[in-house]
Amino acid sequence: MISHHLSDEYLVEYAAGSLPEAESLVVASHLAMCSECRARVETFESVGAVLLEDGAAEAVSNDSFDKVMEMISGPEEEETPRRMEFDRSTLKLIPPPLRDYLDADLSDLDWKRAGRGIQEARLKQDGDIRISLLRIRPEQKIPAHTHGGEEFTLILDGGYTDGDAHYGQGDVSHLDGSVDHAPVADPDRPCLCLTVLTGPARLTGRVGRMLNPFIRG
Amino acid sequence: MQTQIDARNSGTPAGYGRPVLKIVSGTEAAPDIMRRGSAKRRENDDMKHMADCIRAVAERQDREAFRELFAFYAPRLKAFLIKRGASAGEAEDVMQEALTLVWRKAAQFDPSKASASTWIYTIARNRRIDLIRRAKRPELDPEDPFFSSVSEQPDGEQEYTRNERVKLVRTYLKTLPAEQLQVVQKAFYEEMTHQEIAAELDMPLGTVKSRIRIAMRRLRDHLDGAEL
Repeated sequence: MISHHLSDEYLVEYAAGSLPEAESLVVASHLAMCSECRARVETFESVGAVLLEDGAAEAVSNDSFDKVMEMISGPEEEETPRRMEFDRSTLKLIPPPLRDYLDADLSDLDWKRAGRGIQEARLKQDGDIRISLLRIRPEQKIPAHTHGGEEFTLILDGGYTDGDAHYGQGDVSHLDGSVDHAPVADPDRPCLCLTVLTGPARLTGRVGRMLNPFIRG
Repeated sequence: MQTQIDARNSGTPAGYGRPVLKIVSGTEAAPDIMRRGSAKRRENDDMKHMADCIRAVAERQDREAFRELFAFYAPRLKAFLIKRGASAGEAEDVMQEALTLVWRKAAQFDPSKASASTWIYTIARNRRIDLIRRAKRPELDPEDPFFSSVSEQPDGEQEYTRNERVKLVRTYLKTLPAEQLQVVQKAFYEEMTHQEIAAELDMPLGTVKSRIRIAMRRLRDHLDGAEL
């Protein structure tokens, strides 16, 4: 049962098409696991549809229709989705939108130690934005920390407790820079999650970076 | 995001506002349908007809049905894309590509999941994103077996059809106070981030966010109420 969802404002930006890639990845991956938010996004998309139906019309080129028919009868644009073959556990744990960011099975990713009992596999780093998978040992407590930018965490397997709240599979946690938290992984199994960090780097200290995977380096 | 902002700036049409092409040709059905569309509110039947046209394209590559889709959606998509910052030329290209995808993906259209306009809206939106961003937009593949294994209940709790939902959304938008409608339009029609809306309207980001949140919350309540 998913109890921590993304707030409407992110779903609205996703439905409108203005949400940046990293946040869109969190949204799309959460949607893959959450029918409630899927229904919300569909509702918001129908706002776009209404505005399209009722919106202005702009004259199209004279040969527009013929060009489209020509494109239709032409060869299909060669799509290059580098469809990887994944093993069963990867397919089971990684939602489809996230798979495109993996270049190997879960167990073969470039896992690096990122603090006590925590491993991180970086999927993408683009300026201030960092997309990673984290594996946290059962019962591991993550040192108290705050964030430079915003932090999105989507639980893919296992779970953790953060203060009074428990986060399980499919749950999303979204924190801005002001929150100081120290989550503790569930005891029964390792916690696997997707994290996206956005915003300007704030802490660049070598020690802080090594100690704390949640703080961008 | 940098790429997005660049794309939007570079998309500012140099000579836009000077309409050169006035005739919609190659689409004999166009003037009639467009007049009908702009003169009065399209009813459910019209949209059901659009859904039938998509199915006709999927089932028998029906060119005439596609012509009807084109006549209704092409000018709207083009205007919509220009609103989103594309130049007239770019808008024409993306519109053509989106409609090509409408033909090619027609078999994937499922009227129980989306209205014709919602489906076409998402195709055009995604096509535009693919073009202005270096990275692809993470998207859902509803066919993936992942859904049945991990995902919760299948969707479909809605009792009303997707066309009815669009109609409900339309009546709801009419009840919105002007200042809420303005931010919703900028978000969806002009594809602005909340931050960009705040900058353009010169209001605090928190105000934009709360207006959108309230508007969407009420929209969901409106739809939930209609379900009973």
